[in-house]
Amino acid sequence: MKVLKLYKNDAELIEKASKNYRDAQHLLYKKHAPKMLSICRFYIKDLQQAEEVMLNGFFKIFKQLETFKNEGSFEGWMRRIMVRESISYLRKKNQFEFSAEDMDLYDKPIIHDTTELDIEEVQLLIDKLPQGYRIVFIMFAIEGYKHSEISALLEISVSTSKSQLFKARKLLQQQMKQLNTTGNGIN
Amino acid sequence: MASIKFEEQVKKTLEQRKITPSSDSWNALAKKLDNHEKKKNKTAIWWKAIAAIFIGVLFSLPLFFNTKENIVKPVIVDVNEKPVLKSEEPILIKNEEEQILIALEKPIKKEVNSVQKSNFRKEVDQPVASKEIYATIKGTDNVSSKHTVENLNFKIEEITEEVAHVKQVEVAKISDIDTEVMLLLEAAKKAVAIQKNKNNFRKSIDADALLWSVENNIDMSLKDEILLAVKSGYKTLSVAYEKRNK
Repeated sequence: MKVLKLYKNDAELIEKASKNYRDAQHLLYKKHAPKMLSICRFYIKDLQQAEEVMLNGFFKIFKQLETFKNEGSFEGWMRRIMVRESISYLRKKNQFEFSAEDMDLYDKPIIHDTTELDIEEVQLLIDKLPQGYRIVFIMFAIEGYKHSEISALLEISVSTSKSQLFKARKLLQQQMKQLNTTGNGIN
Repeated sequence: MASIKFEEQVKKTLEQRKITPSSDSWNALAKKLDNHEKKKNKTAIWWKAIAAIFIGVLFSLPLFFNTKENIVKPVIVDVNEKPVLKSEEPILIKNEEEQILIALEKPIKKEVNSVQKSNFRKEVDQPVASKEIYATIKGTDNVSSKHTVENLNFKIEEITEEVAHVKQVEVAKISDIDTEVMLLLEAAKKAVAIQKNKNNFRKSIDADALLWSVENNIDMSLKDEILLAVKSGYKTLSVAYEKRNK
């Protein structure tokens, strides 16, 4: 019953927000903005820029709220808009590059257990990745996009998407090794 | 396997993360939304104004054109040729008498019409004359009243005489016309009778008549000439004898 009531409240909130009720829009923003900012932050290193992108994303969400039908997840719909907004922002800023460094594709990366890593460390590791690697890795590993979807969104080939993911993993392995050795050295 | 485990771990940790936006972020967004709303309203107002103007023009156009039509253009209608009067239609005439009678009717009608027109003209002239009289009366205010009355009487007499004369002339004309008509009718009847005879003669050929007409043209023989001389001598002798006895 509680879930249903919550859903009903959410639906009412969305309906009111779609009719330009500013209070309802504020409530929606309050509820979803932290999560959406976190998503934008995956793609954009600078928090201020990520916030700007998130605001643009919310502006589009409120503009297009009439088109949203309560058939799927509202949060999923919002996430997709935020991802697209982040990608278009990076494209506009010319930060959209896919490095073509030669790597041994047959050499499978072995990443050690990360139970000890906290959120900030994980974000740091991801931020250290080149732009192309990072975007493909987040879209594939965290957002759950398929290679075909990534290639369509980023306007790259599927093989490029696969290679970028492989390279990201490889680089992360190296970084983890480095982190572990430095950690051990420190300890 | 290890890489997949690592990715799942990263996903879990990142999913839990929430970054609170700055306090002004909502105000900035609200401002942006308000501006958009204003623009939207403005465009809506423009569209409504354009629609209203269009509807106004649409309604006023027929009124404008209607008034124009009322004032200016008379409609020109193509009408077929005048229907020919029955009397003027060609009639198949069987008899010559009827033909002549119809031929005679036309001038008679024309003449009668001319007489009527002339009468009408005279009648129109009469009020003009009375107007002249009225003008003379007005013009001669200074002259003595007796003199004017005499003049008027004289003029009235003249006019009545003229009218009577005209009437007589008209009557005479009408009688002349009647006699003319009668004469023409008779002439026509005669012509028809001659024509009939001719036609009859042509239709039935008489042998005796033919012989008779031919015999006049043949030269007389000696015997006939002697007989004719005897006859004439006998006649002269008998006449002389009778004269002597008397």
